[in-house]
Amino acid sequence: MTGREGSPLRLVPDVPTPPVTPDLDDVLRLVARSDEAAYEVLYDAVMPRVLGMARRVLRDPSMSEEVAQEVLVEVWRSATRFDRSKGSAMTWMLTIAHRRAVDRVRSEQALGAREERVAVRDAAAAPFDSVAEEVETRLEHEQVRLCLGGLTDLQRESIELAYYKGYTYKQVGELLDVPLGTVKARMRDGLVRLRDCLGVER
Amino acid sequence: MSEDVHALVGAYALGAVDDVERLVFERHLAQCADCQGELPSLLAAVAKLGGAQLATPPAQLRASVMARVARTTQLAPLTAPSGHRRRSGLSRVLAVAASIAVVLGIGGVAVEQQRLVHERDRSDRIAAVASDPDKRTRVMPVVGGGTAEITDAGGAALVSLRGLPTAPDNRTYQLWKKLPDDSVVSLGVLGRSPSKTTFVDNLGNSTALAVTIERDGGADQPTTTPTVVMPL
Repeated sequence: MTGREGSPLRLVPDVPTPPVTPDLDDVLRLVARSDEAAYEVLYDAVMPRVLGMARRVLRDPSMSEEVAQEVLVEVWRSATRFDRSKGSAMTWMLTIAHRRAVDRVRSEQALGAREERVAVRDAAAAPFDSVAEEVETRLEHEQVRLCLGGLTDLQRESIELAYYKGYTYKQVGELLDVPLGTVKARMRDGLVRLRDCLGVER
Repeated sequence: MSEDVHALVGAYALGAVDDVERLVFERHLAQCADCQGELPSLLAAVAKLGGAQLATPPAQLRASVMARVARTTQLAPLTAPSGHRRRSGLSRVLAVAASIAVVLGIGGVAVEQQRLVHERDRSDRIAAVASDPDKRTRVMPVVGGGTAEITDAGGAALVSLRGLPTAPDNRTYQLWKKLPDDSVVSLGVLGRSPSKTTFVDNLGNSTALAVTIERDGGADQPTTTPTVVMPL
C-alpha cells in the first residue's frame, strides 16, 4: 500500500490508542493564556456535559443549546478567574452552566412562557462517541441516583426542586409547605450527605 | 441574622437564591472562613448532580462557539494572589484595574477603573440595603395585575416587580422618581416584561417612585397614569 505523496509508507498497522482524558485543570490554565488549541480540547471534553445538564434543567433542545453556547463562551472569557483552590475545573464550569440554566428558567417563568411551552421530553441522548465514556457516565449516573436515594424525602425533594427546576429556597418552602429555616437546613444537610456518599474531592 | 446567612450556604450552592440574596451571601462569604471552607465541597457535590448526563453536541454548535470565542476578549488575570482576603473593595478593584490597564494601554485605565469601581460599589450598596436592620419593605398591587415590592434604606431602594402583564408591542415600562417640588425624573426603562430587581440610589429627598407604560425607548416625562406609586 502506498502512502500519499510525500508521506512515509506504513509497515505496521496503526494500533488504536485509547483516548487520553486530559487533565482539565491544566487545559483550563492554558485557555486562560488564550491558547485556542487548548480551548478546542476543553470544548470537546466539556460540552457534552454542559449540554446534558442544560437539557435536564431546560428540557427545550434549542434553549439548551443557546445556554450551553453562552456557558462555553463565558468559560473562555473568564478562564483567568478559575481558582484551583476553590474546586476543580469541571466543578467551576458546571457551576457556571447551572447558574446560567437557572437564570434562563427563571426569566422564562417570568415571561409566562413556561406554561405555554409544550414539555419536550428529553429524547434518548444521541449515541455516545466512545463506549468508555458511556460506561463512565452510566456509572456516575447510577452513583448519583443511589446517593440521592440515601437522602430523606425532604432533603431530596428540596435539592431536586432547586437544582432541576431552578426554584429558590423560598419557592421550595411554599411548594412543599415547609418553614424557610427548615428548607435551608435540609438543603445544606442533604448536600453534605450527598457529598459524603459521592466521595467528592474538592 | 448572621446565623441566617450561614444557613444559606446549601441554598447558595444549589443556586436556589435570588439575585439580592446571592449578593448578600457573597458579601458574607468574603468574611466567613467557615463558609469558605464548606462551600467548595458542596459545589462539587452539586456539580455531580448535573454532570452525570451527556448529550452529543451538534457540529454547528461547535462552529458557532468557536466563531464567538474568536471575537471575545478574555478577562485579564487578577493581580492579587487568590486566597487572600479582600482588604478593601477599592484596593482590590484598583489592583484589577491596574492589570487591565496593562492590556488596554493608558487611555483605557480611567474608563475601566470607573466602571469597575462603579460595579463593585454597586453590589456592595445593594447588599447594604438588603441587610440594613432599619430597612422598610412594602408590597403593593399594580394596576393591570401583579405586585411591586420596594425595600428602601439609607437613600437607596430595591424595587421588584412581579407578575406584571407584558407591555403592548412598541411600549415599555418606565421607572420614575418624584421630587418634593412635584417634578418627575426618569430612572430608566424596564422593558416590556420587567422581572429583575432594580436598584435605585441617590434617592435623596424623593417623595415617591412610580411606574408607567410609555413608548418604546422611554419618554422624557410620563405620558400615562402610573400603574403603581410607591411613596418613600
